[in-house]
Order: sequence, then structure tokens, then C-alpha cells
Amino acid sequence: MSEKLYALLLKLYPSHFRRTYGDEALRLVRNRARDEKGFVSGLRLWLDLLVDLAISLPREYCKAPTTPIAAAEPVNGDPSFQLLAEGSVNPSLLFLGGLLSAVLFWACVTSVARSRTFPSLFRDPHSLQWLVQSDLALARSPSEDAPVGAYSFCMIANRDIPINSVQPLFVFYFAPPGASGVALIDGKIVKIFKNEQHLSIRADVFAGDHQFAVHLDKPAENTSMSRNDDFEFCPPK
Amino acid sequence: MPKRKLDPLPSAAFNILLALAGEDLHGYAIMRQVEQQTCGRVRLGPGTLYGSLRTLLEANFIKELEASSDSDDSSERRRYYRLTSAGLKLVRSEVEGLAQTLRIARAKRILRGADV
Repeated sequence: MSEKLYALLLKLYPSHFRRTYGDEALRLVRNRARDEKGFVSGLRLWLDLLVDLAISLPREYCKAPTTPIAAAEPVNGDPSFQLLAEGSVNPSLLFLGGLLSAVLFWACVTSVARSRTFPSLFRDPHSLQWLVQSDLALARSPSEDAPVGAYSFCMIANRDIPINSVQPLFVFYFAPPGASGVALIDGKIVKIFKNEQHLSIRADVFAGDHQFAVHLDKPAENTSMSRNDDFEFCPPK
Repeated sequence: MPKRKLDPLPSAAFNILLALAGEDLHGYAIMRQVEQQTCGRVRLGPGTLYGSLRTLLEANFIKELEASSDSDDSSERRRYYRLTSAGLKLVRSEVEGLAQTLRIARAKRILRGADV
């Protein structure tokens, strides 16, 4: 059993190691499993094997022989290659390769960001903010089809305010015929209203900063607004 | 002065060289010998053992003997390893270094007990 499992783990080693020492390594595990019977011994064996795997595996890949080749004289007219040297890859070349990869990746990301594929997301920060703050159903670009008459402000709740609090969070008073639209707290819809003159907003709110927004379907005259006593406007940044 | 191969000598390689100082051994026997000479503190796993053996072979500190049948299992042929003169020189140098360290530790009365 141990041997079969280790045979699978052995596949993680580089091929040159497996070719040269695979059988010997398996035999060693087999002999240890034969000589160390019992639960504790078996546990210790596997602990040793796993620790050994973690230590030796990276080392073997670092030591893996590379085969730089160069074109040699054609043999019977066919192209052939000649082994020049054996040794690990030069670390400076690895670093250079990594650096080039990073630059290439950055160039790709930049070109995609500047392309016309996602203009509203990357060119207009306001559009991105809009997507983050609103539900996707309401995520319409303000430049194209923005709801008219949007109110948005930051408020600080001094304590947790339950939805059944005596005072509503906000009350908006609109002139007749009232206003229609949605109210959002931290980007989540808390109320959808239609033709309301006396708009009362209630929700469960934790203590701390919150972003409130009211989006109206069409212009409406806001006569006044009152707020819960446990609310304060955020200080200007 | 050119840097010596395997400098500093890894613990696993040192223990393998020390194990081979007495006799030619195959991989499993080396592992057992190392376990014994370190009072059970070091049990070389297959990856470390054979990785170290390859490094020592490449540095000519040990050599591989012709594969021979194992006494307790004639169907299996095992590779035996033998210390070379360069390997013996290296392990002797390492042990002398340790002995010097031990002398200093004794002089400073860091060690206690009759066996030291």
C-alpha cells in the first residue's frame, strides 16, 4: 500500500531522477514498510516521506540537467543538433525571462484597459462607481440613461438602528404629485416607491459609515428631508 | 582559491560519507546506518538520499559499484556505493573540523557528562 502510494508521489519528481533512482527509491520505501510495522511506525514512515518530498522535490527540479543544443553539421542531409553542455539554467536568464514576462503581461493588461471593449468601465471612473454602488439591475451609465434627480450622501450611524425603530432613517417630502424611484443603502435597494409625497425609509443599519442614495424616475420637487437623530453626515474629505 | 564542491557539505551528504567510511553499502543500508550513527535523529528519505548520492557521485566523492544480488532477495539487484579517496579525505576533514569544535566546547565547559 505504502509502496503504491509512493509510486504515485514519485511521479512528481523529474524524469531524470525517476529514471535513475525510481526503482531504488521504491525499494527503499518497500523495505521500510516491511521493517516498520504498526500504526505509529507507519505514521512516522509517511511523515518522513512527506517531509522528504517537500524538501527534495524543489531541489531535484533546481538540479534538473538542461540540454542546451546547437545546430550541428547535417547528418545524411538531415538537420541534427549537438549537445553543448549540461547544467542548470543560468539564474540571470531566469530573472530576465521573468522580467520580460512581467512587462509583456503589463502591456497586455494596459492595452485591454485602453481598448474600446470596456470604455465605460475603464475610462469613466464614475461609471465604475455606479456599478459598484448600485444593484446590477440599476447599473445604467449615467451619461446615457441616468435617473433624473438622484440624491446621494454619506451618513454615519452612531449605533445600530433596527428596522422597527421609532424614527425612520429618513423622511423625504416631495411636492405633489410626489416622486417615484428607488432608495438604496450601501448599494442595496431598501425601498421602491411610486408617487409618494411622504417618503419614509426604514432598514436595519449597523453603526458606522453608510452610503445612501435615492434615484427618482423623473424630476420631483423635494421640499424637505428629516433624518433619524442617531445619524450624522460624514465629515467632508 | 577555487571553491570546493559541496562546500559547505550538507548534513545528509556528510552522514552518507560517514556511513560509507566503514563498508560498501546500498541505499537502504546507508539509510539505516545513518539512522544508527545519529541515534535515530536522521532518517534519510528516498528523495534526499538518492539526490545526495547523485551529487556525491558527480563530485567523485563516492563511486557506484557493479549491481549485485541482494543476499535476502536474489531477484533484486542493488546498487552499492563506495567511498573514494577524495570522499575519505573530505569526510576526514569534516570530522577534524567537528573535533576541533568539540575541543573548544569542552574547554569552555559547555558540555556535561562522562561521554563527552
